[in-house]
Amino acid sequence: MASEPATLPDDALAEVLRRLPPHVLAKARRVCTAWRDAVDDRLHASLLSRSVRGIFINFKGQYFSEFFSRPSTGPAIDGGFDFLPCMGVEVKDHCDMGVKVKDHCNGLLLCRESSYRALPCPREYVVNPATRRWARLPKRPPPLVPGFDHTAHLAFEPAVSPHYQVFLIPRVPWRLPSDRESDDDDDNPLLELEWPPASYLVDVFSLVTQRWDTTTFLREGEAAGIVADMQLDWRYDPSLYHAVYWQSALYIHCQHGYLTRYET
Amino acid sequence: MATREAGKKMIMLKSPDGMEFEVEEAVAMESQTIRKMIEDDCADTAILIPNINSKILSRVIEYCNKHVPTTGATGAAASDTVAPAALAEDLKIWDAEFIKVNRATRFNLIQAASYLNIKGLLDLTSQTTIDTISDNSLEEIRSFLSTKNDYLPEEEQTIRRENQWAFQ
Repeated sequence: MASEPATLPDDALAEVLRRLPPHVLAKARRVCTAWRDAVDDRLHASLLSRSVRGIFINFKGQYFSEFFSRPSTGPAIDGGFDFLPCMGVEVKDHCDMGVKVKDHCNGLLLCRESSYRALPCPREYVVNPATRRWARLPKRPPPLVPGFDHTAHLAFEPAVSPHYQVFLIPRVPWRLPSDRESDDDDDNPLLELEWPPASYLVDVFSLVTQRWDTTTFLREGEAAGIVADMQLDWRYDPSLYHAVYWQSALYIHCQHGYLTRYET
Repeated sequence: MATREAGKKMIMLKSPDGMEFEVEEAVAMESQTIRKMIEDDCADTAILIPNINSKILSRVIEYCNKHVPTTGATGAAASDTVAPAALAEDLKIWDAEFIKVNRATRFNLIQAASYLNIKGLLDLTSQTTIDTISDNSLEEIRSFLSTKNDYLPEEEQTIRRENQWAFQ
């Protein structure tokens, strides 16, 4: 020990790293493999900044999400998304493009282009507003159950994996498509189906594969009801039903007030 | 509360290279590791401190001697003449002098402070390294801390991307 140790011994290194703020700790991972391993083995959870640096709010009736923050000493967050390519696009001398935050998870946002005028195919982005890293999400596949709706939800747990996933969760639409001539919706055989079904298909986008893949989820326990029950929830508005990703499971609040849990 | 001179309980600390240091129990208990040993009655006549040589151990004791609280058991300040702010200032100057050591000694002190669990000493000794990591580029950090970049180019790309997505 009296001989000159040129480098920090392991336990001393861990003590130093433990004292670094999250963004410096992230930099330390890049120094060498031993440092990365020291961080990933013992301090991965510390990489996540727990400080609240601002809040995005979606106001009812507003096209764009608003960002609120207090002046801080940390790296500034660009809540205006000025770095996204859809921003600053001018039509007839004025810019009417913005983005709306549709979902969020541990610091990442799922955003969708939004405008006062109707957009034929609004693009979606996954964004880290703190690092200004963004990626365009490939076009969503059509809903797996024809005529049904779906909502997109982010799953991201940087303490476990730096890769995010996006889940497209099927939703029972307000009105089912009629597949026959009859005008009477009550005859639709879809209405009598169990919901959620015993075998549930969900499209999942993974950052690793860079594409949407269909994943099968098997239902554990009883169905919440039949499709017709779900439709009784006449106030259904997707923006009122939220999802939470926590400890590698996605919890979805569904119509008719039931909750599903997807293990990823 | 007894005065410093009268009947202080002493503890013997031994380094692996055979040196023995007699210190006041209160001073030794600045180390949470030793405190636990004493409280659990694991401390006999002498406590062997593994992995910390006599040179480093004597410096650690020097630090603990300086930082042992000067308040009595009743909570009253031992010194009525020196204001707490002046004491803190004096301690800060002393710390700054104490840490003027070469890198190897500093690293050894971090390790010793970590093993002995002396928070103040750990904060003091790791600060220089924390500043180095915080304020410099990756290349500079590697050169200051004598670590080699052993990433393959593609690994470097991967970790850069990971960081951009996940962390700030």
